[in-house]
Amino acid sequence: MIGYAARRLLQTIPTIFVMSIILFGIMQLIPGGPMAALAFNSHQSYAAKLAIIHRWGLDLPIYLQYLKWVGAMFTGDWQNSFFLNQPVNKVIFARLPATLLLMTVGYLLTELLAIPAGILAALKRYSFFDQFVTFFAYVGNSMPTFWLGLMLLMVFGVFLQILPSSGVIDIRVTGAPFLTPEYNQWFSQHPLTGVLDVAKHIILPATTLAVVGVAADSRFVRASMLDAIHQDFVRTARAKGVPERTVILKHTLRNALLPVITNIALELPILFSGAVVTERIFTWPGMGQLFFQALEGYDYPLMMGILFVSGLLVIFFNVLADFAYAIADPRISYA
Amino acid sequence: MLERAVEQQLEVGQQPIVESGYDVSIKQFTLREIIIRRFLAHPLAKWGAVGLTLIIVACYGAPLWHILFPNYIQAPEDFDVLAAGSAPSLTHLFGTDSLNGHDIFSQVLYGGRLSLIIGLGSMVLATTLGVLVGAFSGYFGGFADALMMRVTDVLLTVPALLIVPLAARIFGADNPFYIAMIFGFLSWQSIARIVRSQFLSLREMQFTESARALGVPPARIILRHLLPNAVGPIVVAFTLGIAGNIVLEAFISFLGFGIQPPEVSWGSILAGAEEYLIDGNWWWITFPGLAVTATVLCVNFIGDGLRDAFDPKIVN
Repeated sequence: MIGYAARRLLQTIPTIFVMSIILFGIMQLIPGGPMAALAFNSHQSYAAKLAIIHRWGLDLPIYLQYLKWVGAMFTGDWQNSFFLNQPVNKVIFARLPATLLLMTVGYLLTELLAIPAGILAALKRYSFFDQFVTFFAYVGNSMPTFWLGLMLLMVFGVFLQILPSSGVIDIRVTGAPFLTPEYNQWFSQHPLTGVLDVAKHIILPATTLAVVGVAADSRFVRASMLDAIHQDFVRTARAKGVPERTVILKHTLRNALLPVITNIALELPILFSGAVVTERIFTWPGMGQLFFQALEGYDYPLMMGILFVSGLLVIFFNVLADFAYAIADPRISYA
Repeated sequence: MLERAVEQQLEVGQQPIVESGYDVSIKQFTLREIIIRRFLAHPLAKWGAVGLTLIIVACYGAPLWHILFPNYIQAPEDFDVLAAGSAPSLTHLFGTDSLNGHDIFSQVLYGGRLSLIIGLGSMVLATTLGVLVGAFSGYFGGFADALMMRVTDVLLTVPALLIVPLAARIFGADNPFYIAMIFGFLSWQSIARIVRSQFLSLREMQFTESARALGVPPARIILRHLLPNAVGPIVVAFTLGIAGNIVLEAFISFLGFGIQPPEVSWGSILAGAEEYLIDGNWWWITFPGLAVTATVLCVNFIGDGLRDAFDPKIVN
C-alpha cells in the first residue's frame, strides 16, 4: 500500500511538468503577452516599458523564460498581482480557505442528501419517490449551475429577502473582512455569532452546488444499490432468514457504497469547477471570483498563479480518488 | 397468438424464435434498424427528440415568425425603450429587459440559433479531433499513445471552466465561429479516451487480425472495420457533449466573454440580467435559462436513449 502510494505520487511529477508547459504556452498566446495590462497606459514612456520588459526577463529566449518561471514558482516568488499589488501566492492562499469551505459544505450537503435518496429510490424502485428522484436528477443535470444560482439568489435574496445574497460574512457585524487578523480576533471573541454569520451566507451557494451534485450522485447511488441488491449473497442472506433490515444495512449497503466512495473522490474536480461558477454569482471571496477579476484586468501573474494552483488541486484530488479506491476495495491488490 | 408474439419480438428488435412447422414470413432486421427501433421504443428519448425538434423549428424559424406575427416577434435589433422592464403580457409574452426594452420572447427565439449551432459545431470539431487522436493512440499504441494520453490527462486536469474564459479572452471570442472552435478544442479529450479504449479491445479481435493478415492497410482497417464498431459510444458522447457545450456557451456569454450584442444567444440575453436582478424583474433571467434547461434536458434524453439503444447488454 505504501509502495503504491509512493508510486502514485511520483506519477504526478510528469503530469505537473506537462501542465506547467501547457500553462506557459497558453500565457504566451495572450496578445501583447504579459505586457497586455500595461499596453494602453499613456503615462508610461517607451523607456519605462523597455525597462519593465528587461526587468521581467521578457527579452530572454523563450526556454530561458520558461526555466526562469519554473524556478520562481519553486522558490515561492510568484510576482506581484497587477491590480492588488500584493504577492500572488499570498493573495491566492488568502482566498483558498473560502473556496475550500464552500466546497466542503456543498459536498457534505450533497452526500447527506444524495446517499439516502439514492438508497431509498433503489429500495422502493418505480415508486413515486423513485420517479421523483429520477425527475430531479434529469432536471438538475440539465440546469446551468450559474442560472440555478441566479434563480436562488433572486427568490431568497431579492424577493423573500431572508438570506444574504453575497459575500461570506456581514462586515457590519464582524467589522473586518473574512480571515483578516482583525476578523480572526473578532471571531475568537464571538465564535457563535461568527459561525452563524458564515452559515447564513453559505446556504445559497452550497445549495446551488448541492442541487447539481445530488442530481448526479443520487442516480449513481441508486444504480450501485440496485446492482448490489441483485447479487447472489443477498438472496442467500434472505433465504437463510436474515431479517430484511440486516440484509439491507449490513450486506447490501456496504457493498453498494464501495463504488460510491470512489465516485465521490472522482467528482472533486467537477465540484471545484462548480465552486468557481458559484463564487462568481454569489461574490464569494474565493479563488474563482479572484480568477474572473484577474481575467478582466489582464492580471498576468495572478492568472498564472490561479491556473497553476487549480491544476495542482485537481491533480491532488485525482490522487485522493485513487487512494480512496485502493483503501475501499480490498480485492484490488496494488503490491 | 404466435404471430403476435413474433411481432412483439420484432418490435424490440430481437430475432424471433419460431417453432418449426409454422410458416411465418420473417423480416430480417439489420443492426441499424434494430438500434433505430430500440431508440424509438425508449419513452424519454422519443419525447426528447420531439421537444428538440420543436425548439429547433421555433428558433431557426424565428425570421419567419417575425414576418408572420410582427406584433409578437420582434427582429433581434428592434427594441422599445419606453416598454423597458415590463412584465410578461400579451404583447411581450416573456416581458422585456430593463436595459433597452428588447422583447425577451423574440430574443430567446433568435438567440437559440447561435446557442444550438455552437453546441453542435463545437462537438463536430471535438468528435473529429477525438476520433483522430483516439484511433491513432488505440490502434498503434506505443510511445505515441503514451504521449497523447499524458497530454489528454493534463488537459482534463486544468479546469475547463477556467481555461474557456481565458481562451475566449485570448482569441477575442465575440465571433460565434471562434467560440465553437475554442469549445471544440477543449472538449475532444473524453471522446479520444472513449475511442482509444474501444480500439484497444477491437484491435485484438479476430476480424481485425484476419484483415491484417489479408494485407488491408491500417487506414482501411481503422475506417472500415474498427470505427463502425465503436460508433455507439462516440454518438452518445457526442450528444451529451452538445448539451454540455450549450450550458458552457450560456455561462461564457453570461460573463461577457462570449457572444456580444447585437448578436444574441441564450447566454448573452442573461449577461445584463444580473445587474438588474435587484429590481425584481424575474422574467429576464427565468425564461432564457428555462430555454437552456429545456434544450439540454431534451438532448440528455436523446443521449440516454441512444446509450440504451446501442447497449447490447440491455434486452427489453
